[in-house]
Amino acid sequence: MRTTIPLGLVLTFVLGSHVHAAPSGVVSFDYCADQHLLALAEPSQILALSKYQGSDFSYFPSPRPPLPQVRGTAEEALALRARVVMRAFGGGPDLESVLAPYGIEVVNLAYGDNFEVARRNLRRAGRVLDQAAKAEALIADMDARLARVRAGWADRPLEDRPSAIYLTPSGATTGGGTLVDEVITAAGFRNLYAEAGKQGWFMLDLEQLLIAPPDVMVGGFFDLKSSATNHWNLARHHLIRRLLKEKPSLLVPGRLLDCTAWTAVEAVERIHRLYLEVTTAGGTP
Amino acid sequence: MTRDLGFSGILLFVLGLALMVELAVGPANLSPLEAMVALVAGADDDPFTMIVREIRLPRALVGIAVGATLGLAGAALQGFLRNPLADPGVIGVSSSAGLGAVIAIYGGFASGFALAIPLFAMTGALLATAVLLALSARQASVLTIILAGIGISTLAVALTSLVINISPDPFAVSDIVMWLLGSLQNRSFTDLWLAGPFILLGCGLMLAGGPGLRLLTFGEETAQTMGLDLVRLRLFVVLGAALAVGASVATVGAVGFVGLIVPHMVRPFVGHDPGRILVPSAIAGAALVLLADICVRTIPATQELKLGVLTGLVGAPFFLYLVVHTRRVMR
Amino acid sequence: MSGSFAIEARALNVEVGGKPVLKELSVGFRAAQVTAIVGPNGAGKTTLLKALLRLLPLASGQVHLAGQDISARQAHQLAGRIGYLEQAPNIYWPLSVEALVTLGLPAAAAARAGALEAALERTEIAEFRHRPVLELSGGERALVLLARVLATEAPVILADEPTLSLDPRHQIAILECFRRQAKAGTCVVLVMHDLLMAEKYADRIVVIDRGGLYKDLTMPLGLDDQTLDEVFGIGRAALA
Repeated sequence: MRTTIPLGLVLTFVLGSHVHAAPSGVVSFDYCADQHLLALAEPSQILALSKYQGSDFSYFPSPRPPLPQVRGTAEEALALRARVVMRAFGGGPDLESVLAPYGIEVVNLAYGDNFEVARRNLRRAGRVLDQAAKAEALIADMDARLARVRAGWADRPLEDRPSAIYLTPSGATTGGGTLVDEVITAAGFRNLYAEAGKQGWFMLDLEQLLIAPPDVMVGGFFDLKSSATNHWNLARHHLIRRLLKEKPSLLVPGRLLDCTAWTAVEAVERIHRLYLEVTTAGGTP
Repeated sequence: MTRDLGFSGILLFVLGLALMVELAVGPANLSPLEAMVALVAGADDDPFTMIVREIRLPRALVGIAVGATLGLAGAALQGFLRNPLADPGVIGVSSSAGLGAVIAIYGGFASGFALAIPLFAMTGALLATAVLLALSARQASVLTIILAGIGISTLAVALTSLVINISPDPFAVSDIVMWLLGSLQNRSFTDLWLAGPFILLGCGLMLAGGPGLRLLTFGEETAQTMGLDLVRLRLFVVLGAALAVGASVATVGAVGFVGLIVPHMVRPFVGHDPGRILVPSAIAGAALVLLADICVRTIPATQELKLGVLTGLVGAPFFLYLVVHTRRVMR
Repeated sequence: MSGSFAIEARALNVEVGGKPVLKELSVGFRAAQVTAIVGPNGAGKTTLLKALLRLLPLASGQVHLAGQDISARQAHQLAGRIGYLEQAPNIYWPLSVEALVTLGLPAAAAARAGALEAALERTEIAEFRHRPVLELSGGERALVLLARVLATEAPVILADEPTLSLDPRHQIAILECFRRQAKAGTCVVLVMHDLLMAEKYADRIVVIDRGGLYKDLTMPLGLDDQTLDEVFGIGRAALA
C-alpha cells in the first residue's frame, strides 16, 4: 500500500503533465482555502473541500450538490490520492514534511496584515491551479472596488473623517497594522486606537471606551451562532450594548474577515454603504 | 468575643481601604477622593462618573462577593473535612463548577436563559462535593481526600478540554481559556444580580454551620453525642459551598487558592476554632481578592493580567509550604 | 427493678456491616456506681456503648434512659444527658485546654465558667488551662477530654477504654476521677481491657462475650476462675 500510492502518484503526474490539463486532485483543508478554490478552480479540479463547507465561516455557500469534504488530515489527503493540499491553518504545522515523501504539494495561504497579502494569496492559488488569469481578474476587481469606495471620501480632510473602533463579541479590538485596520481605513474612517499608537489585536478596555468614544462602531463576527450563545461575551455588558445602540453600529459578517482574502473588500463596501445609510437617514452627513 | 469583633473590625477597615483604592485605580486614573466624589455626587453623563459607577463599582462588588465566598468556603471546608489543606479549588469544586459553566455556554443552554450558567456551575460543584462527602464519610485519611480532589479536578479539566476540542468554533477556544483563568474584568451589575442570591444563600448556609464545625473538633461520633446533627451540617456546608462557589465561578471563572490561604492568615489572630474563623475568613477573602485585583490593574502589561493567574502564582508556593509544614500534623 | 437503672438496654439486637454483633442483650446500669464492661475482642462492648448512645440503629430491642424509651431518638438529640469518651479520641484543632473543655456547652457565660472551674478541679488539670492541647502528653490530654465530659454534668458517662495507652500514673488518676464522679451520683460505665484495674475500681463487672451477657458480678467478689477460663482463656495466676 505504501509503495503503490507514490507509484500511482508518479504515474498520474507523468500522465498529467503530458496531457496539459488544468491540474486536478486539489483538496482544501480549511475555509480560507475553500473560498480560493471555489473562486478560482474549475469544479473538476476540486477533489474535496474542508468540513467548514457551508458553515458560518465560509464565504461561499455550499456548492450544489455539495462536494466531498475532509476533516483536514494527512491521512485523508493520501487516501484520496490528492495532488495538492491548499490550506491556511488546517492540517497542523508539520503537514509539508509528512506529505512531501508522497509528492503531495502543500500550498500555504498566508495570514497577513493587509490587502497586499490577499493579492499574494490569490496569485499563489492561481499559479498552482493554472488559473492565473482568473486570479488577476479578481485582483483587478478588488482594486477597482477599493478605488470606488475611496473616491467617496478621499476629498475629505483627515480631521473630518469619522472615528471608528472595531469590536468582536468577545471583546477583541484592533489598533494599527492589521487587515481589519486597513478595511476600516479603506472605508473612510479613522481607527481610533491606531491613531492612539496601538498596534495589533488586544482586548477592549471599557474605561478607555467611555473616556474616548468613537463616532462609529464596526462589529465583526456578531452573526455567528456561537456568539449568540455565549453570555460571557463582553458584548453582553450593558455599556457596550448601550454604545451599540446609541452610535451607528456597522456590522460585518464574520465570513468576510476571517481570512486574508479579497473578500475583505466586500467588508469595506458594506461598512461604507451602511454608514451612508445611517447618516443620511438620520439627516446628518 | 470582643477580641473577635475587634479583629473583624480591623479586617472590615482594610476591606474599606481596598475598596477605595480599587475604585480609584484603572486606565482612567483618579485619586481615591475623586473616585468617592464621582461615586456619590457625580453627574450622570460625566464619563468619569460612569466609569466609577458602572465599571469599577460592579467590578469591586463582584470581587467582594467572590472573595468572601472563597474565603468562607475555604474556612468551612477546612473545618468540615478537618483538613487544613482543603479549599474549593484543591478539592476540585472550582474546576467542576467551571466545567458546568462551560457546558452551559458551549452546549447552547445559555442562549436564551442567562441563569443557565450559574445553575450548571452549581450543579457541577454539587457533584464534586458529593463525591468528596462520600469519601470523608468513610473516615478517609487527609491524603485520600486531597488525592480524590486532585482526581476530580483533573477529570473536570479533561472534560473541559474535551469541550474545547470538539467546539466547532475556533474562536471559542480562546474565549474559554481566558475565562478559565479567572478575571473580574468587565463584570457588570447583571452578573451581580444573577449570582448574588445564590452567593448570599450559600454563604448564609455555611455560616449556619459554624457551631457544628466547632463540635467536629472531636470527630463525627463524639460531636454527635455533643449535639451535632451531622446530616444538617452536611447540608449546610456542602450545599452552601456548592451554591456559593458555583455561582462565583460562573461569574468570574476559576480564581484559586484564596480559600486555602485566607483561613491560615486568620488563625494566628483568631485561634483555631473552626466556627470562629468563618466570618473573619469571609472578610479577609474579600479584602484579598480586591488587593489582588488592584495588583492586576496596576502591574504594567500589554494585556491585563488575569486574577486567577496572580492568585495561582502566589497561592501555589504557599500551598507547597503548607504541605511541608503540616506534614507532621496530618493524620 | 428497671426503674432504678440510669440507662438500660433491653433485648438489644444490633447488626454492624450486616452481621449480628449484639444478640438479645439486656443489661442495666445504675446511678452512683462504676460499672466495668469487660470481654474479649469483638465481643460487642463498643457496639453496646454506641447503641446506648443511639449512634447505631437497633435491629430490635429498646434503650431506656432514666426510664424513658429513647430507642427512636438520634444521638444529637440526647446531648447533655449522656457524656461520651470514645476509644482513641481525636482532637483535630490545636485549641487551648480551656476552649476544649467548654466546647459545646451552652453559651451562658456564668454557667460555663462554673462548669469549667469544677471540671478542671475534679480532673486536677487547672494548671494547664491556657496551654494548647496538642502540646500535652497523652495522659494529660486524656484528662482534658474527661474534663470536657464532666463539664457537661451529664448524669450518665460512657467511656470506651479510657486508660488505653496511658502511663500508670494517669490511668490511676482517671479511674480515681471516675470513682469520685460516681460517689457524687453519676452513673459511670467503663469498657475496660485491664481486668485487674476493673476489679480494683469498679463496683460491678459486666462480662460480655459473643454479643451476649455472660455474667454480672458485683464487686468485691472478683472475677471467678470459671469466667477467666471460659471467656478470656487464662488462669488467675496470669493476672497477678
